[in-house]
Amino acid sequence: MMRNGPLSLVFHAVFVAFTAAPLVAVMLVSFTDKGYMAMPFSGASLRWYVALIDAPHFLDAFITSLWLGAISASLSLLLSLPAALAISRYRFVGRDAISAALLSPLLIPHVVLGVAFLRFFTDFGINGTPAGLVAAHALIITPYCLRLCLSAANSIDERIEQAAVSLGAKRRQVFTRITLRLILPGIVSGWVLAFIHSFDEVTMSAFLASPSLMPLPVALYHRIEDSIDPSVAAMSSLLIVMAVMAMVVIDRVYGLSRVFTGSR
Amino acid sequence: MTFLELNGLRKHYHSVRAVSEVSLSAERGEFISLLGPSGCGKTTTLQMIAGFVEPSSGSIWLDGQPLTTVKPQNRGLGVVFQSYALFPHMTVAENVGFGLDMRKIREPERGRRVRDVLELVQLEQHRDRLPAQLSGGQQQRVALARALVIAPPLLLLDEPLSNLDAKLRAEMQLELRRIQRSFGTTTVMVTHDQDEAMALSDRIAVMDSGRIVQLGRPQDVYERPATAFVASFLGSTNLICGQLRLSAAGMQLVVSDRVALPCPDSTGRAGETAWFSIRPEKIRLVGDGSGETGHLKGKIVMRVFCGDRWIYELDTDVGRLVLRVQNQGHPADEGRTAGLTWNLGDMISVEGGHA
Amino acid sequence: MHSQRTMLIWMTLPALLFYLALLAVPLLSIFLLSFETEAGPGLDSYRQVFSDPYFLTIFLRTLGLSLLVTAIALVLGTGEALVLSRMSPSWQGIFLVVILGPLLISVIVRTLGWAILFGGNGPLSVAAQWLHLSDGPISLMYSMTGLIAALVHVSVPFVVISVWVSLQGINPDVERAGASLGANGFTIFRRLVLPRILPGILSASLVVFSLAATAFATPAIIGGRRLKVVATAIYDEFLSMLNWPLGAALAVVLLLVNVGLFSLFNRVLNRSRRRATTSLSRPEGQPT
Repeated sequence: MMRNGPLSLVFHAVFVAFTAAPLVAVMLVSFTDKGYMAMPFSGASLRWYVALIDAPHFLDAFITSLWLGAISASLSLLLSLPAALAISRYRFVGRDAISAALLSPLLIPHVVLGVAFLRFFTDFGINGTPAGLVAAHALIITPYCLRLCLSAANSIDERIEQAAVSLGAKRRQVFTRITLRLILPGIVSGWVLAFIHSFDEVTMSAFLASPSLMPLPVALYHRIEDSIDPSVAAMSSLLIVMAVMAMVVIDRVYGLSRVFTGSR
Repeated sequence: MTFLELNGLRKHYHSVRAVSEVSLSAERGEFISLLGPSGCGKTTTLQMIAGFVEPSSGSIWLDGQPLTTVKPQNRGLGVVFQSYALFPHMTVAENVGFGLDMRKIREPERGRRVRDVLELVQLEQHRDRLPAQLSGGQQQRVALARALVIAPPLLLLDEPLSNLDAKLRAEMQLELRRIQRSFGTTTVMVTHDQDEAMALSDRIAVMDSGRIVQLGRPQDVYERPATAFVASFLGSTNLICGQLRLSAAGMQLVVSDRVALPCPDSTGRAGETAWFSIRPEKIRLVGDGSGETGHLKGKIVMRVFCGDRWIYELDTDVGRLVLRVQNQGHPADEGRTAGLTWNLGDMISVEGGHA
Repeated sequence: MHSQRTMLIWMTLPALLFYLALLAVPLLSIFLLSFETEAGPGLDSYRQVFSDPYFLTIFLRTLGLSLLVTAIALVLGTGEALVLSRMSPSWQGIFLVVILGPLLISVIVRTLGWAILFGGNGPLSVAAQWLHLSDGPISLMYSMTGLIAALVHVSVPFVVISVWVSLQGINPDVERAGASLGANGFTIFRRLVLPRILPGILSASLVVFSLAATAFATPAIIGGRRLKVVATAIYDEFLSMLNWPLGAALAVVLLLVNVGLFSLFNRVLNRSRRRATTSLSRPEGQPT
C-alpha cells in the first residue's frame, strides 16, 4: 500500500523520460555538425556555439532579456514588498480586495495583455521602447514576486518582533535588524522568480518587441518560425544550463519546493 | 512594600471580555504565577504588563511609577515567550547581546555581561551557535538569558516550560527557580500547569473567566481552595454537595435520604446547600465494610497502580470517589467493599460547584 | 490610528496606481477598441466572431484541444504525484526538481525540443521506421497529436505540484487506519485519499485548461498555420491582417471566458475545499 509496485515505477520512468525528452533533444541537437536539426551521433561539433558568437543577433537579444528582467524584477519588488508587508502585518478594510487585485494579472491571458499593451503603448507612442517593455513585464511578474514576499512575511512569528521590542528596540530597529533579515531569503527568491518569469516570457513580448528591442524568447520564436537551424538549439541549451543554475541558487537560498508550492 | 501593582485591569475585544477585572500586587523579588485554563485571560494580562496589549481600563504600577503609558520598548521588562521567539538569524551570543545593543552598552561591559549570563545558564560553550542548532531546553535557557541580561526590574514568563518534555521540564523548573533566586528578579509567570505553578511560585493567582478567583501561597491555595473550580483545577479532588442540617451530634451534610455526613461546624447555616472538597490523599480505607465503616461505605470499582501509590475509585452513596493511598504493599482488591474515613478538618467548604 | 492608515496607504498605493495605469486602462482600451468600426461604435467585430464559420472552427478546436490536454494532464499528473508521494523524501526531492524544473525554462525552448522530436528526420520518425511501424519519414508537426503532447508537457507539472501539495496534507496513518479497518488499496484511495486531494485536482484542472486555452507559442510553432487556435488567431489579426478591432473582439471573448471560468471554479473549489479542510495554494507557473 505504501510502496510503489513495479508498474508504478515503469510509469514513473516513462513520465520522467517524457519530461526530459524535449530538453535532452535540444541539447543533443546543439552539438551536431550538420547544417540542419540532426542528432550529433554521426558527427559532433561546437560550430553552432561558435555561430552564436559570430552572429550577434541572439547575443544582443540575450543581453536585452537580461537587463529587461533585472530592471522589471527590481521595479516589481519595489512595488510588491511594501504592499506585502502591509497585507501581512495589518488587518484593514479592503485588505483581501487589495491582495486579490494585486494577484489578478495571473488570470489574464498573456495574449490579451499583449494586444492591450500594443494598443495602449501605440496610443502613447511608447511602443517598442524600453520603458514600455519594462512596465509591461513588471506588471506580469509582480504577482509572483508579491506571493513570495507575502509568504515570507506571513511566516514570521510575531512574538520574535515583540521580543525585540521588549528588549528596547524601536520600530525602525525592529524592521531593519529583525523583520528585514528574516524575510530576506523570500525577497531574494521573489526577485529571482520574477526575473525568470520576465526572462522566459514570449507571448506578450511578441506583440511589444521591435527589431531593435527584442527579448531573447521572441528572437528565438521568430527564428524557429522562419528557418529552424541548430543555432537556435545552441542558444536554447545555454538557457537550459542557466535555468539549472538558477534552480540551484533558489534551492540554496529559499528551498525550491517552497517556491513552487507557494508556501511552507 | 508593593513593587508591582495591577489595578482593575480590563480588556475587551469588541464585545468579548478577555480580562474582566484583575487586581494584584507583588512584593520585590516575589515569584507570582497566573494559573488557569486556556482562555482565562492570563496571557492577555501578561501581554498588558509587557505592553503588547493596551488595557481597556485600569492601570499598572511598577516601583511607584505608572507603566501603562510607557511604550513597550521603553518598559525594560524581561519577557520569555512560550515559543522562545529567539532571533533565528543571530547566534546565541548575538541574541543575548541584542538588548545591550539597544541600550548602547559597549565593550568591554557588553562582552562581560553576555559572558556572565551565559555562564549562569550554562551555555558558554554554545555562544556561537544558531538557535536552530540547539535543543529545546537550551533554546529555553537562551531566551531566559536574553531576558535577564538587561537586568530587568520585572521578568515575565509566558508558559516558559510548556514546550519541553516532562523530564526536562522538571529539571528546568529547578533551574529556573535557582536563576530567579540568584537574580532576585520579581517574576510573573503564566502557566496552565498546576505542578509548575506550585513548584516555582511564592504565590499563585488562580484565574477563571477573566478574573482572579484565589490568590495565595501554593500550600494555602491547595489546602484551602475557595471554590470548587480552584479545588479541581489545582490538583484533583472529590466534590460533595448536600444540604446542611443541625443535629444533636453537630452540623451534618445531608446528601440524600440515606446519607448524612458529619461536617465541620461554622461552614454555613442549616438549610443551606453546601459544597465540600476532599482531596483524594486525605481519605483512608478502613475495615472490610462489615465492621467498622468510617463515614461512608463504598465498593472498589477500579484500582490503578502508580508505583509509590495506589489510586482507587469507589462507588458510594454520594457518588464516585477517588482515593490516593501510599503503597504499603497490601492493596485492597477490586470488587471489595470498604469503609471510608477522613478527618473532619479535611472537608473544605468551597463555593459553588457544577451540579 | 491615523498614522497607521497613512502608512498603509503609502505602502499599497504605488502598486495599486501602477496596476490602474497598466492593467485597468489598457484592458479598458482594448474593450473599447473591439467596438470600433469604420462607421463609429458598433458590434461588427463581434458579429463576425460569432457568425464566421472560420472563427467557429477555431473556437471549437481550442475548446477540444484544451479539454483533451486537461484530461490527459490530470490523469498523468495525479498518477505521478501519487507515485512521488510514496518515495523516500530524498528521492521525492530529486524527482520534484526534475519534474518541476522545466517550469523555469522558457516555453519556447521546450517547444523547440518537441519540434525537433516531431520533425520528419527527428528521433521519433527514425525509431518508427526502424521498428517498421512506418515506411517513410513521419512527422507529428502540424498535427493535433503533436500539439496535445507538447501542451501536456507544458502543463502537467502544475498538476503534479497541486496534487503533491494536497497529498502532503494527508497523515499517512489515515491510510494505515483504513487498512486496519479492512479497506483494500482501491477503497483506501477512493474513500480516504481522493476526497482530500480533490480540491488540488480541481484547481490544477482549472490552471491547465486556462493554460491550454490561452497558449500561444506552442500552438504557433507545433500547430502552425494549419491548426490555428484563438491565441494565434488574435496574433494574426493584429500583426498580419491588421484588423485590430476584430483581434480585440477575439481577445475580449478569450478574456471573459477565462475570468468567468476562474470565478466559477473558485466558487466550486471553495465549497469542496471547506469539506476537505486542507489548505492549498495555487501553484506557481507562467502562462504560455
